[in-house]
Amino acid sequence: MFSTPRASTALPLLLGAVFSSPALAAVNVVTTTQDLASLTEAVGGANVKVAYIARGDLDPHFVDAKPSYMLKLSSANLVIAVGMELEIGWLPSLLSGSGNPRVQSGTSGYLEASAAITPIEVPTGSIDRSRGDLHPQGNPHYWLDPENGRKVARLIEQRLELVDPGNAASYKANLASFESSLTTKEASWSASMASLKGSNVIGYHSTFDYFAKAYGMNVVGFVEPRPGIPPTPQHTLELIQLGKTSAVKHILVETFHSGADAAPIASGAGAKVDTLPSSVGGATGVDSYLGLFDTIVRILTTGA
Amino acid sequence: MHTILVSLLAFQAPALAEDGAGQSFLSAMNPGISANGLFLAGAELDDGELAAPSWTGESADLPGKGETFGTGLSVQEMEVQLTSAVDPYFKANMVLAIPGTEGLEVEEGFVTVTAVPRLLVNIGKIKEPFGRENVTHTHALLTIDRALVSQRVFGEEGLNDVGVNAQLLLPLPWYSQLTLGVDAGQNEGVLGSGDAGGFGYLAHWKNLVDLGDNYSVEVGASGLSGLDDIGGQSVVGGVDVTVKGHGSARHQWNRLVWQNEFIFADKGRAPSASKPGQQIGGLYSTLEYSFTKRFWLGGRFDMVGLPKPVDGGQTFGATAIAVLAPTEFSCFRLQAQRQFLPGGHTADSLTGQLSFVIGVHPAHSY
Repeated sequence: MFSTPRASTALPLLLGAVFSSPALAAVNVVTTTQDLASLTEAVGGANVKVAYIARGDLDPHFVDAKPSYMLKLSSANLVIAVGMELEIGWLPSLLSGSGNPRVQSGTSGYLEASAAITPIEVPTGSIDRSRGDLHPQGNPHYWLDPENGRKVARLIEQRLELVDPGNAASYKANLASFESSLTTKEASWSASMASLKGSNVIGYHSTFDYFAKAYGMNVVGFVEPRPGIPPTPQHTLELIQLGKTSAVKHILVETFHSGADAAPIASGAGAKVDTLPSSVGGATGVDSYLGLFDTIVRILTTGA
Repeated sequence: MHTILVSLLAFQAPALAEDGAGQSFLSAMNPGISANGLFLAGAELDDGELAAPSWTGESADLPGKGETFGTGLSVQEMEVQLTSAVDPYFKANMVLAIPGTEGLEVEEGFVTVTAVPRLLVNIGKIKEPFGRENVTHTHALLTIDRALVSQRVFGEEGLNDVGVNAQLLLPLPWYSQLTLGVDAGQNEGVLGSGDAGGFGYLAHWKNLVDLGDNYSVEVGASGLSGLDDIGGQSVVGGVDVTVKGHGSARHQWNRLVWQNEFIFADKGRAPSASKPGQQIGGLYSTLEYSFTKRFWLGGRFDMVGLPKPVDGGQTFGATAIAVLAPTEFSCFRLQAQRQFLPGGHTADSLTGQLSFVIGVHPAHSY
């Protein structure tokens, strides 16, 4: 078919260059969020190279499926997703377009971290979009409970061992170190948050429900009348009344939502709008998983 | 798409083989099913074929006029889409469309081979990757109608034919995808020889580079060649440039899309052509800006007749559109358009559209 010696030599080289991935010195991990990237870096250490897709300052429900993300995924050994359909609007098309069979759903190169946790707010009864953007498997913002972060880190460690068994000892040691730091931090956060235990708060979306549960706060309402649906004037009036009767002092708003919708509720109910990062990268200086909770706790307890 | 992805059939399937997540085996095996509808209310002047009043007194259909939707109420399109993995090696996508209210047609129906690294192979009836607009489903367009040059070159359905294409992700530092394909050569606009061997041959090279964290630029080049319906050969070329971006944090909903495409078709090139050949070229440019998550404005400029006049002159179009989207699954569009046609004619339209999607609808391409 290819008669010249040059062609017969060049073709396999060309095909090899096109169809094979370059040899990697470290496990190439792509996570869907910066939170998962931070946990993977903590567990993987120098043996992993981590990239993420959704920046922490953007709403993770809405991410552009940019082809440049497919390029990241095309050379990944492991993809770690939040799961519970948080990324359903963009991850499937990115995985499909990556042309990387190693990281498709159902392979050992694809991990949904939600497998490690027990979800809250699993909807019951008839589910349809008249109830807003519900997630049938429950609230997917579980990384905002630090104990869930511990569980996810353990799951990531197990998967890294599977993908890269030669560095298992290193992954175990890194996990132990992370858990030790987390335990120390949790004691500090619990002490700081003790003053808010039992208090009633209002959320913008259900983002901080796991955090509130972890520290004993009660989320009594949401700025959104239904998940993903903008507030109406009537709903705002109802929330003002609810805020008054429930003695709400904090309205928790993600950095990617405008505080303008929450401001009249805060004003009417005598509460305060707390603009909080909901992910690593969600605010300036929030560059690690532990740092994320440092910032949230500081804002809630000191207002700064 | 922040969504509830529950198969429409999930509630009908018997609760057999429940797993830990409460999903039955039967429902898990259902394909993702979605349906969308586009309803129109329009007022049109100078359309000739409809009994609408005309301020220029024209009664005949105007040469060079692109698709408009007449005066009154109508259904633009209804579609049902099914998507699923076939097995570990293939996934399938089927789009059944009802243009208007009668007649069912297969708009797309193809399988994609997913098992080969860096390579996707699509087999079936496919919206072919010529430029950007051609692969976009109607309800995902900025405007209610397609660009005039696309309509003139490829016809009402666009370049959408039975065939095979292979999309290779090139080993370059930026996203670069090369597509090579062959189709049945049935496009009504530039192919359609009717010969058994009258295939169309397609090439598309797509490149995307991130400009910082929030912006990207995409540059593409496309080519198509095949036997045409006048006994000659058609060669079609195109280039497209798109800039997209959005703000950070609470400004992420401030989004900008600037999309541009130039298409040139040279039809009836071979000496055996029984009729004179024809060259049709033109461009469009769309610009949209989202002020909030739910509201955006946009516009489109059209020009047909580059570099040579077509239908005795050049056609220009100016379109303005406002979009209000209560959620990701419904939106209202209001579009005003004027077409400046050869001979000094104009065609004006004001069209409202309601678009909705139900079920499990896959994400549109970036």
